[in-house]
Amino acid sequence: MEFETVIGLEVHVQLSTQSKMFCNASAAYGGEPNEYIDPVTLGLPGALPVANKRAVEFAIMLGLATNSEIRRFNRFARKHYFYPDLPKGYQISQFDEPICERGSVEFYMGEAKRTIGLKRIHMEEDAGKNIHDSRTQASLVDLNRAGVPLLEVVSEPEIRSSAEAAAYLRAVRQLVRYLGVSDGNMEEGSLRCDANISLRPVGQLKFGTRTEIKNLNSFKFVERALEYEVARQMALLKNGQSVVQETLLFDSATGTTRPMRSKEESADYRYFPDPDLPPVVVEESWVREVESTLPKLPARWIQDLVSEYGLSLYDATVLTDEKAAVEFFNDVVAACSNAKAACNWVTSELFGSLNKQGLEIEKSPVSAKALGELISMVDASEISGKMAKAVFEEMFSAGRSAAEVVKEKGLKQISDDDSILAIIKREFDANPKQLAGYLGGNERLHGFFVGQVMKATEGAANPKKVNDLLREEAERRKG
Amino acid sequence: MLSEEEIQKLATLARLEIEPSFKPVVTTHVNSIIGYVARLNEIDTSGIEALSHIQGATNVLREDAVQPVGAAADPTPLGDPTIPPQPMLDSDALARNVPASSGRFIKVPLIVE
Amino acid sequence: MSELASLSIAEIRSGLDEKKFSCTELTTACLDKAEKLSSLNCFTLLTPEQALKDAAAIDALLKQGKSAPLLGVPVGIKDVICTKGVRTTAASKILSNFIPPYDATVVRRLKTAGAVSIGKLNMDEFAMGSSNENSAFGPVKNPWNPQYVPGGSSGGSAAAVAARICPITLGTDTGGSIRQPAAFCGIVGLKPTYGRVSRYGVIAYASSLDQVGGFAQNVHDCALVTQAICGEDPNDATCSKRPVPDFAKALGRDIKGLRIGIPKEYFVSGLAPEVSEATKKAIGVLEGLGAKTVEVSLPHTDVAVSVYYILAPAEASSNLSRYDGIRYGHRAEGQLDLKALYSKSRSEGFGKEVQRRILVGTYVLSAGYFDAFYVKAQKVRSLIVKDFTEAFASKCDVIVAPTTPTPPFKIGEKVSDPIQMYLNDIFTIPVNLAGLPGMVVPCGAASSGLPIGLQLIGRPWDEETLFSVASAYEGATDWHKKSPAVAA
Repeated sequence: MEFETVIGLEVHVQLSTQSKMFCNASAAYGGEPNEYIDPVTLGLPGALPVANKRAVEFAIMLGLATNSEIRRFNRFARKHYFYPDLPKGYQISQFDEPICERGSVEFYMGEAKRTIGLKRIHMEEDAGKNIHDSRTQASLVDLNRAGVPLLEVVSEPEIRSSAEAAAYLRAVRQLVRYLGVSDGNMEEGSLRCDANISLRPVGQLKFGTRTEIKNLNSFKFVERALEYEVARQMALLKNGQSVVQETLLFDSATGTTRPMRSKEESADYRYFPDPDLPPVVVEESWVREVESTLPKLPARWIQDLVSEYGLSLYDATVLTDEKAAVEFFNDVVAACSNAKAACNWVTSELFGSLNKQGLEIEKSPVSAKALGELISMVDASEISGKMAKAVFEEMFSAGRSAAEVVKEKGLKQISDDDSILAIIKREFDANPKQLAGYLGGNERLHGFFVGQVMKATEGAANPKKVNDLLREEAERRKG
Repeated sequence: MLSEEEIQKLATLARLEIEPSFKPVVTTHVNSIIGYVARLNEIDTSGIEALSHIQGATNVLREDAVQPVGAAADPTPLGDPTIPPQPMLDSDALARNVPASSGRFIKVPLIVE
Repeated sequence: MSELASLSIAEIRSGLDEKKFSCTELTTACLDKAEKLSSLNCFTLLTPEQALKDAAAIDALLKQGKSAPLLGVPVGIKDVICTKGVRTTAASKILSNFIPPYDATVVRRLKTAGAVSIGKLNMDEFAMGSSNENSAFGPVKNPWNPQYVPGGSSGGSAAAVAARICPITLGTDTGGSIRQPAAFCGIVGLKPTYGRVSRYGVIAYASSLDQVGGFAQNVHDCALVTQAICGEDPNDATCSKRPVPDFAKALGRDIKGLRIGIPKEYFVSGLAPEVSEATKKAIGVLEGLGAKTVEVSLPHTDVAVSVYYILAPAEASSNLSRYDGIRYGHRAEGQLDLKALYSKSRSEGFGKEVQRRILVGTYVLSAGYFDAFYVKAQKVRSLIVKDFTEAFASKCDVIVAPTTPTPPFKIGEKVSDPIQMYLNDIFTIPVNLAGLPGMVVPCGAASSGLPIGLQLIGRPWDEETLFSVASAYEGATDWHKKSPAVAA
């Protein structure tokens, strides 16, 4: 029997606000243990939450970016469970009234466009962190992260492979980074992922029994954990055994999943509307206001890059991976009006050099305008493509403009007919034997003379001009 | 009617350990309370909206700003009557009340995940 | 100098301004009186050191000629309200060692007003109770007769004012916890409109119902303490930004022509004749002052207790989840795994009534019962709000009613039957459910010699009318001048 994989992801996006979701404590990453505390973070008696307006706006932004329906009347709900990293004994979240519903995330896998539906996006607060020390039989709690705003993005079970899951996750990360609502840093836990996974016979509508894998904290782990879990479930089903619905933890050391002991007891979260937090009403005018601050998003960029700039889909996806890159590219095009060249330069020379130095594009020593100028010089035949690469290297290492480098190194391409013709004549006269062969029709000797001219000009002659003028002079001498 | 076992389940959910001698008593009490409040079922509430927030205020939100430790001065007699946004607390605030700690961490029995 | 402790605010203020006595002398007198009447068990903690330090600072201000309505006025604070650096327990073992690192907003306001706190007042644990018998510090006794309860949950706050230990105190009212003890102790108490006073730093019992208010010997003093604690707070999203009127201006206002609603559902069988008579007499006094009475109907009165005993335990079970012995408070001893640590700490820390309400609250919120209990109760709550809205929209400007169905009862009388205890709040609970302001003034005495209080209920945000009616009534009667023998 053939089986189909059914995956749904719950992605937790930590928002990059200054302060926490419901209090004025810092939401920064790191810090001394328990440094970012206040009465709300500690869940002290009498402390009360007040919601962070920016976090709500971030939720609206992600909702708009995923074409979600934005709920007008929003309430926060309390979700109850006891855990040492949850100071109040409940997490403030949203229950049956999430701020965003029925959205979707678009992305490409190769040439194929995929659209994964979103059930919901809701606002909630993060928990603290526990460090476990089995040697002392103790766990240590740090509440710096407790109360940091999160958006939980819940996909429909429409993902069909572990690779697609990873691609979807990358698309979510790309989106939140474009919007500036999160840094999407998986190592620091700004993006965390739980996966629901089940198998069903191909053609069957009913879903199989699912398992949930918690805390997948890198793209690699998402893929590996899902691959392992697909194989595990497949083996069970093929042996005629059944899958047990349970919550699993992925062990990255062994590459396997194991049941979570703390989840054995069936949960009853006892949600109810938080009486401390008045409803948040998102009027249409507020949505429009937030919408006006949205940047151009990857899907739109890709569309424009392909249809207006004539780039390949592959190039477009590479360029749009990061907002800063495509915006840089766009600025390059603005300075040189040559999208294809700009794309080549940005994706090969620039990305290559940046990678080598471990630099973000925002820190590029070559500005978009400077790169545009360089491309324009090539297009105007002022320098050759080969020279341009050398010029770029100099620009990158010394942070200078193309014009400066070209002038200082005397790299300017020789393009005026008279100068080139004079050199051609000199070379013809200096090599009578080769000239005779060339005039006699030996095409290989055309290359020989091109080489001679380039050597004489130390590569500075415009190769196209050299080509054309060689043939003209040869015709004249034949005649 | 809730049985003692059902009361025990609620107690587990609420992380309470009911004294054995109190269990029958509390079971009787809880049942009489639940029996009493169940009279609400006699009220027709069709078409009535459930209330959740009494004064109807909405969008009471704060600007995204951090209040560092010491950002608000202690009150003084006849001083500034404005109520400042709650600032962060220094580590003493935790250390003074925490029952068990290790360095700056709160210490708890080993959590098994 | 113990007679200083008995003074009203007006007497204190003129005495301080005219240098008849110092704030230090006054504070010492209150502290001494508290010690002398320690058998009433009003306080969970007296803070003489801090109080005298604060009093000295006030004396310096007085020397500079500074004056303000509460400058130098001693105050007691219910132990459910956080005081920075001063132990705050909610009368629970689970917080027996808790030192708040911050002040509740109401405490901050009182400190800024120049009031001097002498200590923390006893109460029912986590404000759950109507008799002050549910305290980890033992019951408070009614100053009129120590065999009787002072009412609850703000029993210590009411008893301290009745016994003339200090002129004003703060309490909280979730289902009647200011008004019922004010009535039982023969003093004035006001629960402001929900949202009028910040709850920040007030240990939550039922967040949608809790409200801080003041106790005083008379209506004027009650207006002053109310004035001091009201107003917006960036730290409480449920606290209103609307401006606070000058309550003192409402005192002495003519009530001629004011329409007083008498809710017929409050005068039914079960209302003790003594209470009924005292209330009707008081209504007669108001009519004599020119007010017009009109019968109004609040048809859902009899189910308000049911709504309350679903919603309040539900919210309480949630609010009390934070008491787990991990970050602060009582932690059980011994080698325990995490789950046992939670259960043991909480069971050792919480008293029986608290555990009972947590269980009920957990039940009504649990899967399968939420709609039938919690949602249903919130719907009926809408109906209760509607009852009041309709009465105030067309029929009356203020509602006058009994505070409790019976006069004060004896300690131990109702502990075995929670429902009987809960029913004592039948007339106060609807006011909390509707978020309205409610006030109590003394209006009589039962055959036991214990006081009876008259309840005034106002439109949302209309504490002013309550003050006007209360001050008119007070001006025409002598009940507020009576004090128990121990107060002398």
